[in-house]
Amino acid sequence: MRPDPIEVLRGMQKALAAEIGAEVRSPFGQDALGMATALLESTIADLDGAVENLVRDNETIAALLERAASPVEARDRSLATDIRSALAQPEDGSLRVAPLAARNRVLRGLLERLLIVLEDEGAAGGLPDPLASLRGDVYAHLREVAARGWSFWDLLSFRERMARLRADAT
Amino acid sequence: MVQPDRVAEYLRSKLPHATGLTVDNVHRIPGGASRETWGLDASWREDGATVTRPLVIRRDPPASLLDTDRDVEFRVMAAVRPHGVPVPETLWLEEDPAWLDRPFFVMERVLGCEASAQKLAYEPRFVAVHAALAQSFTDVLARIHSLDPEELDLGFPEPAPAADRCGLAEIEKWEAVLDREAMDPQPVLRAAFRWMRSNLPVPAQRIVLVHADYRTGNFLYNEQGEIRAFLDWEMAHLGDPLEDVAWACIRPWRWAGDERIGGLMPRADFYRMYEDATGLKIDEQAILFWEVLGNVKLAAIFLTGARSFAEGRTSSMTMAMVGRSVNRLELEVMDLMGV
Repeated sequence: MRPDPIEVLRGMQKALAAEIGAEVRSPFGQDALGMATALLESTIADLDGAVENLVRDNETIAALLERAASPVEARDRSLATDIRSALAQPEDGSLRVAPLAARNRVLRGLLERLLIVLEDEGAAGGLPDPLASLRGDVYAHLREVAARGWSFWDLLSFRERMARLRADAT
Repeated sequence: MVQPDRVAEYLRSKLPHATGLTVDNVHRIPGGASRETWGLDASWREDGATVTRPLVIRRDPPASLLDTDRDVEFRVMAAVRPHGVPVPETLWLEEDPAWLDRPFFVMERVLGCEASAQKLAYEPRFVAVHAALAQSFTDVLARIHSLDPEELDLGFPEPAPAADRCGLAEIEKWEAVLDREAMDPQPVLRAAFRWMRSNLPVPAQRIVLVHADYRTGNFLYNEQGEIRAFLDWEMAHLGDPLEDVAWACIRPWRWAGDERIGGLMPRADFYRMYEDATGLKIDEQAILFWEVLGNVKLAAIFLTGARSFAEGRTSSMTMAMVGRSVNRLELEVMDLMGV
């Protein structure tokens, strides 16, 4: 169907910035309008890759958790049990955003618990392998996710930081 | 919306000797995401003379980036103003929502100034006075940190933390906000709290009034390079002065997009000027702790706004935008932690 969702959002963004923006006189209105157009830009940036990112993230986190289950057993038995239980849940194969995001929340919740175990153990006196390399891979994944998408700050405070990061990625 | 006739009715109740009081030019001022900010002009006759006052109303929003006590902001501004800290004159604090639907306070509107961090970073007329603004920025902070909290009528609900507990007190405060507000797992922020507990700062050199939002974007400035007023005191508390120094340094406030602190000055210059003005020493490890804390605190504030938006308690575009910017703070936190 045309216009497709991204074309619609781009059109809305253009209308807000040009036609509707020209009618808004107050500084507060202009500010809110600028924020709305930036929000649309951010949404467009996320929309196209949303499903692919969720599928990939879920696969990556599941693989990290699988590696963690045995080594964390002695340190946090309930975490190891919850990891095994979550990974044993059959996936329904849906590519809809809502179920993928729900699965992502479950897996990220376990990743959060795993990272706390790794940080506490590391602070207590060095992290042995394979947990040390696992920790590095967990942060590599979290960095990839955090660098994704578009934020209004990329035009301001984080401008050079993000430009360097994207140049490195290519 | 704030209706002029309702504001006029309120002002008449506060100015019983005023006659012919009128309120004009009521307008919403952008920014100030934790509280609505409205500008207006009030005029009246008193003792045979016409009085005209540009005023600001700071009204509680339906939902905010942060739940803060308006009376803390009002009281702290009133307490520091007589001691040479540039803040607008505070006039009335009103807790009764009957007047304007929600509690608010009224203060002087400082004229002839800009607040925009972007203009400060990029407009040539302000770039030309960056050195003066940098000095003024540092001097005002030094002035705040030189005040004796015991001599000020601050009335904070919590007592001052011990010098060796300042970092821990802030960790506990912001971890509780994250517990309450986060809608999704936050592995980076949770790991950062663990990191901070293992990397607590050295004890504070002295306990001072911490502004807690001292940064470019929160002051009114002019083309002469003067800071005429420092705003947004709602998070003020007693604590470690280096908390303010580090907060001013964090990347989100480096509006020029490079490494200059606040878009104004190299970090080394800021440290040197601050040390010269206060006699306090900058401890790099403590600053690292406070910068991690600052980014995590900002993320917690943003997640509060995001939740308000997601739950339909506000339609503010700002709340949605900041929620979608937390990932940039995570990236910065991981850089600072060296992971």
